[in-house]
Amino acid sequence: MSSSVFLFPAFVLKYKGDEIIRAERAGVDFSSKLTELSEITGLDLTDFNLNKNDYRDDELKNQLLTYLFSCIFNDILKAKQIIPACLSGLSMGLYAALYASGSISFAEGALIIQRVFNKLKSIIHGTNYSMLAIIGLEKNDINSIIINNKLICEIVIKNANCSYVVSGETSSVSSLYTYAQEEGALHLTQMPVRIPYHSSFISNFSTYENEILNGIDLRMNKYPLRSAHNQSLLTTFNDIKQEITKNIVNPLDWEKTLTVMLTEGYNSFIECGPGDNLKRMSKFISGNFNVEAVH
Amino acid sequence: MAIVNETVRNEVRDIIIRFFADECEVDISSINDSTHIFDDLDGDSLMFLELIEIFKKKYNLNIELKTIGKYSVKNPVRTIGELINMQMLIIEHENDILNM
Repeated sequence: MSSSVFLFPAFVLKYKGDEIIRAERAGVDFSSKLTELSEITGLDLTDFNLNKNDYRDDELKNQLLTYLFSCIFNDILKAKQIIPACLSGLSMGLYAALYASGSISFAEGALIIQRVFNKLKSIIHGTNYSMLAIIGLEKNDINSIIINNKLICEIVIKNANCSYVVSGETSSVSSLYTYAQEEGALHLTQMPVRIPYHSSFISNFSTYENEILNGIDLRMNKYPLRSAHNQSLLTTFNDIKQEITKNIVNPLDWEKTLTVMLTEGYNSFIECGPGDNLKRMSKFISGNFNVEAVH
Repeated sequence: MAIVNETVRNEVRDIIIRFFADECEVDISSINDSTHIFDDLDGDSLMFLELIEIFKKKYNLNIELKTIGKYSVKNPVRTIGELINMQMLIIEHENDILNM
């Protein structure tokens, strides 16, 4: 039996292309899983294929499919006796981490994702928001652009040194894109979302915790689970319950999350989900460790 | 700043080609100086960044990412040959690359 830290992505920017094949080779009936997910959510997801852009560009479908692949790959690893030494999910990756930890069922995770999305959509009242990943600028560079140009947006995730994600009003985020390019950003990615996750624009979301968790039978986690917003271990039932909303409304520090686990002695990580975004981001974090995508 | 000579150039070329062969899962023999990084290899700017990190460590370079970004806006890189040339300039001039 071997163990590594399992990491779970929030959504997929680019599929590797072999996700379904890998799952089916391991004995997973992928069509049945799509049907199951469709029945849980009431959304017809059965025509999904890796090349359909509408699945990548649709915020909710992207999250649900990412969650599906994450859960499938987690199950495959465990069937191979690869057991998580610890778990962490970036942003909405938390829900797959909770599934992997045994705190929620597959159906409950899908329902939480759908409820969170629908509630956030109602909170923003039709205002257009966007998120932008910026690589190549320091935090101070980005904040200076925001302040000097009176942009309505804020840094919400630190992925690594010179690698940040900003949430804000779409017009401000578009301006930031241009200014950041002029300032020397090497890589800019508009994320396929319309909700300003982890920002102050959705700070009242925490008050809906009971609504989100209505009917969800939360259990204590079987494996250590680390928060991506304050890096604490979730050790009590209340920790897990609160994390479900705290993880959405608070800024995240993914670099620090990995660094804390490195200082604990973990140096082998498996990205448990579609694509390989976490693996690629980890190359910009200092330390002697290895992140492998599961497929 | 490192001393740039033919040996360094060959080393840089070798690292870049091996990197893209590995990342893009293509045969190393299919990559040459005229290979288009985006069209032929389906590469992206994140791969540039990974390479920059590799070279920063290998040659102990003193250069800010945003300096490279500003240079890239004015001198966009599309092919493996252009990337090798840019990397050689970075190794030679580091943060002074913008003053060239």
